Amino acid sequence: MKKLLSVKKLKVVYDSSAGKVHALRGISFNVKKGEIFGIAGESGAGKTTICRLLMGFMEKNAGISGQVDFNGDDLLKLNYKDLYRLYGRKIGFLPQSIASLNPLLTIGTHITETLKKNLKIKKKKILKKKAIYILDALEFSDSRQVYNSFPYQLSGGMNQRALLAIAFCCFPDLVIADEPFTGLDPDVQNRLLETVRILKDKKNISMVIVTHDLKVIEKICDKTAIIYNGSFVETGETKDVIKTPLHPYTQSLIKAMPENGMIPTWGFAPGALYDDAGCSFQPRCPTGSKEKKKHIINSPASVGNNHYVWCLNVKNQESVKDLL
Amino acid sequence: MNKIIEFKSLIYKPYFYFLLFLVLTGINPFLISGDNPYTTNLSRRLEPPSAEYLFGTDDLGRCVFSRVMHGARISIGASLSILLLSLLFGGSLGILSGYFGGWVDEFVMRITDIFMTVPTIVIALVLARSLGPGIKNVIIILSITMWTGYARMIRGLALDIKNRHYVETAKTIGLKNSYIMLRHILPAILPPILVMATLGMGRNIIMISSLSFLGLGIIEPAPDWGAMLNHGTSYIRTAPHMALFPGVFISLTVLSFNLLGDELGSAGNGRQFFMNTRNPGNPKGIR
Repeated sequence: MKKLLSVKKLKVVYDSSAGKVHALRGISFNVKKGEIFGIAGESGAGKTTICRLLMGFMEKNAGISGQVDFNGDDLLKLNYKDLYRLYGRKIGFLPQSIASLNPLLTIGTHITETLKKNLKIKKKKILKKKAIYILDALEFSDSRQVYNSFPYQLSGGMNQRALLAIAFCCFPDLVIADEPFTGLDPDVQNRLLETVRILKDKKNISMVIVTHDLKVIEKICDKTAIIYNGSFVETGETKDVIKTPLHPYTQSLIKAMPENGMIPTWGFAPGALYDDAGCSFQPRCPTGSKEKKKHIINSPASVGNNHYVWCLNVKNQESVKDLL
Repeated sequence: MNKIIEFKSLIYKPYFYFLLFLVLTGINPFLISGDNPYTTNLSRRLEPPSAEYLFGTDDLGRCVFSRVMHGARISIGASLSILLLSLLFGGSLGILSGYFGGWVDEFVMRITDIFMTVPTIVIALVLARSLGPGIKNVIIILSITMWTGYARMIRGLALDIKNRHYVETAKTIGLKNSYIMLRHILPAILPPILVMATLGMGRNIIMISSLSFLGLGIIEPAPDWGAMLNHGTSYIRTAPHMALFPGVFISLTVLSFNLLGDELGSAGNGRQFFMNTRNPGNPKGIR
């Protein structure tokens, strides 16, 4: 399969009064066409930074290095105009909350303005027909009513579906989702995830899903990366990462899931100001040594089937060829 | 339509009817006053209010009532034009500088600062001296001096809205900046602008009247309230009604506009005027 998005050695550093803030410490991943790539981690690990970077919303004082290749374009080097040409048509964005819907516009207006801009349709009748068709596809029982509703008149789940409609209505090649479907009940969440699955399979859409919810990852992601303090600690096929986690951080995340007893991990993440070389999970690691010497990890251990672990305790089972 | 403008509370407010009356007289003053405001009758000079002449007559025997009624057209028309011009100019500069920020913001705001350092009335007086009196010049002069306040305020409002999540999402859809400004930012900041504009109407009427009173605005024989007040001061001992009625109308109009602005502002920052206040809460049980 063709690579659609490839991120190489992406680093983001801010200058602040407290010192250098390392938001991302060199992450690399590839997303193939029609694949869902999930990134999971705790708050402050750099998940949202990845999203904002892919959407071109970085602050001006951020020092960004690395490469983000999308279909042959380097997103980091594109100027404002070219980047905006990609938005909507090629890259879609699925935001986190219903604050992303304008309270003064109806759901229908939100969808039609997206269609109008990206598909260059002028006629209002056709726009409305298309929008209602899309709402129908998202299993709204009364699409016409939803079309004329304001966001505050709908429930949280319905608004999330409306956001899905906006993100997917032009069938972009890649959809970036920043913590989608958080704060919804499991039933609605399941249904939305199923809808995403179907949409993605039908139109061969790739996705990058950033979340702290391992259930979302488990349900729809093909590949998963676990991020800790700005760097990946484990990547691989979702079933490998979730079922046979090798990195102690991934193991502790899985232990902290509700159905596994919600056992918290000892200690806190060192934060983005931490700038020693070496494993940043070492102080919290149950198996790691407590000596002051830092464990420097130059390359991840490969345990087969594209499963990589950034841990010294994991034995390398095959030679690391090309990363990912 | 969901966009119900809730003016219900205004039905019980007397100032609303006063403003309605002024607007109607402004549209056609002859509906209410039959007399020509320019016709002089020297045999009936300086008459006190009577059944024939409700507000009496002035030094040239003209009907003060019909002059006041015709003055509504000049005062409200001129202050509305000033409002629209200054709001259009100041508002578009404000929204641009708030939305784009950076050097655009710096540039526009420094120009605004320069205008704001000199008192409005001083700029207006200097300009009025050089341009000369007349209704057109009054509109030009006051538009030039009044836009700064709107630019400042609208910039602040736009700054707030541009960092909302939905504006960011609109960018990710790939919408143009101009479209985002008109469709996403402007409607959100419209209610406070409406309040500001209503309060601005009262201020404009006072400014026009002040200029006319000083002899630099609208001059005789045009029936402007400020000019009539100015003219009436010479006869304040013999015929106080000449100054009284235009003065009362200025005060009442300004008061009414200010009360209307307060009413619009107190109604939840005016947001309800653009949205249905009651949440129907999924009436049909759609899922």
